[in-house]
Amino acid sequence: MEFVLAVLLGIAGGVLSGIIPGVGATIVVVLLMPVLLAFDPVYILVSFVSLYSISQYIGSVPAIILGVPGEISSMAAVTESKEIIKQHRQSEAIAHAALGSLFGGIICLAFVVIGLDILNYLAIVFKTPIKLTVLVLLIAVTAIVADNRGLINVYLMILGAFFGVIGIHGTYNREFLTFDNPNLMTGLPLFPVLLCLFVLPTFYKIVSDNKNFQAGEIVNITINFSQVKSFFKDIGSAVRGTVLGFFGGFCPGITCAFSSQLAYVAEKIKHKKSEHCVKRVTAAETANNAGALSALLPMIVLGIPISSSEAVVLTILQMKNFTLNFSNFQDMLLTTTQALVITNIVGVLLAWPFGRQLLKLLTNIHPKRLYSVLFTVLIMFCVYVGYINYQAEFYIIVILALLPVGWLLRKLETLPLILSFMLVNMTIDSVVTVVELYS
Amino acid sequence: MRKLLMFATGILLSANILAADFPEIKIVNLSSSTGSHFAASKALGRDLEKQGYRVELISPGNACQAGAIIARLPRDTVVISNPSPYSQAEIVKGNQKCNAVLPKPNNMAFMLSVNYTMCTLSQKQNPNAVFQPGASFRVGHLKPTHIWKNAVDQLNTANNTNNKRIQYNGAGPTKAALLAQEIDYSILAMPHALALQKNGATCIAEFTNEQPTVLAASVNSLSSNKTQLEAAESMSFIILNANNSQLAQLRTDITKIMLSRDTESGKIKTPGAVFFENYSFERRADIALSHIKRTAGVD
Repeated sequence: MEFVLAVLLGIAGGVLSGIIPGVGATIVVVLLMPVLLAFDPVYILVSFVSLYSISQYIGSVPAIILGVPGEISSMAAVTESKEIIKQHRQSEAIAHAALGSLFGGIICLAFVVIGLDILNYLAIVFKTPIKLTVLVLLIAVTAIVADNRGLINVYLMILGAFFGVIGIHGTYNREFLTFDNPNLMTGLPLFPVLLCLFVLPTFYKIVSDNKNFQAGEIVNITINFSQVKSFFKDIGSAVRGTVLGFFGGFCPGITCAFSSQLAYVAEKIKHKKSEHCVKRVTAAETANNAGALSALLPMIVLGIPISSSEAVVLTILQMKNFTLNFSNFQDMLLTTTQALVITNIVGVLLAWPFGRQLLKLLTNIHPKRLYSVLFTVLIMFCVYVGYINYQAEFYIIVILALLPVGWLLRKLETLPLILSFMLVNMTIDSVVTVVELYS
Repeated sequence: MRKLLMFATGILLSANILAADFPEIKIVNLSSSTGSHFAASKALGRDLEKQGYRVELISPGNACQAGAIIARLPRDTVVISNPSPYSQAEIVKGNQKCNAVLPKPNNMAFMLSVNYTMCTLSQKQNPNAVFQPGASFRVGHLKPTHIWKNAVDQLNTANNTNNKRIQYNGAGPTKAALLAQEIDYSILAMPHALALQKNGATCIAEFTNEQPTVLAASVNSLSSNKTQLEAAESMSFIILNANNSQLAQLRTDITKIMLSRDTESGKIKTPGAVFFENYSFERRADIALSHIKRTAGVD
């Protein structure tokens, strides 16, 4: 039962993440946090992989039809959307993108299940120096792609690191600004920090950027078997998208977005003419689904996050006193595989036959009202989480202290700050170990 | 329909009355929230629930924070806690300024201890190579530094070796480092050694001056110039705020749970664990306290 609930929650979250511009997997994980905290660790992971997978399916729908990027990994589809709309091939593009996503998702899943033993080698590959490189790359790439001016990202990372090192952490019990207060010894609690310094600025940006979400005309999406036949006729694009997307997904910080761009550029080199716009979208959309799976592997197998949403999930798992590692990944992988099979099927249905209905849902949303209610509810949830952790007063103090900071940062993309906050101690520990290993 | 409702209400009421006979217990984990001490607290909680107790597990992940929660609970709330040597050592040493939760004869309920071990994956062909003169391997271990620095230094002096210490933040990272062959040897408590063996590692020796409990040899017997190294991880459960009858009842129930093979706690207990069940509570509290002091380096 918990499995079904977790999958359903993941699907709902994935739809939200995929369809609403500016709301990525990271922010949806934060929104779902109060519910996720009630799940067993394995089902938190099930919810997350379902969310991640579904959002890749859904993202292509507003991208192709409205030219609005629901997901960052749908930028290639946004680029091609003008040509697709000009040629009146929206239905074909939607069908090919959905089928390509299914193809990429299922092929990669089969590859992972068959090659389970190969994953053991990940443990050997990911020695501390490699782990450190991945962490640094993740933070650096997030800062580079963040929508802020150069130095601001550096300041945000420093501020995030400052908040992150408060407490007693690490191999040598580094103590910083605890003032002998027991509440501060485990550091600033994640939920209030995310709420004030990430959710608040993100919501503000979404609301000020989108008075409403409708950007283009919602056309009728036709469904027929000839679209399936034409997809298989152009299967080469999906195959190339799958292979490139799978390996691209390992790129820290930009995972699926990188997969998608990599496959898109490769396909553009192969098919330059404008009439091949659907092939290019198919390759890109297949790639982001293939990449969605490979991006999850370092986290599931070794507990190393390579994207910001994974870092949040990992921290939630730590709050549930659970560590993902080499010895328990096989059980995790089996359950998440089952979830992925279901979500791939649901994803193709939502993104293809029900695509139009989803778009109608999007255009009926009033951003300001929605986000005001959501933020108020989240603040209440946050205090409740503090209460059940015997830290209600402390959570309220942290919220009151950080809300003004969040408001000051409202015009900035604060992902570099949050990532730095969550990963600074893991990074310092890795540096310490590398120094000990090679000194 | 009315009869059915009355029957259901009756069942609910009687269940509540039965539950009220048992004290509501808070299990407050004083150790980190990811290690074996937390796992043991969680298992004990589930086993007590099966016996009809109402249990809440609280695990803030820090000994001071956990201690503060215990202090804030009403005086009549029965608390089970686990003052592990490492969790209390930093407080006893004065590095963390808060009140220690210590085992005493009047609160001790159960205690067990498991030996530390040495395992290897990269040197499976010659696992004792770490003791051979001139050896220069990476030996991974966890906190506290002073204990393992002393142990590796003594082994280096006794065997004329030049092995290098690498400290990790907990058993999980140390195990991962051994499996990634980032280190050649690991020093970890028995439960982790057995997990490593399942993943292909070879565990060679225990840190004990007595007969090894599971493995074939002790570190001291493999050392050329015999060392006197002893290291065991102890785990104890203490009961706070209980009256005499509650204390006696819980001591009996916890001991039964821990020694049984059918309980969750019984299933996760490690082969080779010493239970001290025939020792007096005074003696057990003494041993547990001495482990804390040794870990703190103040004995």
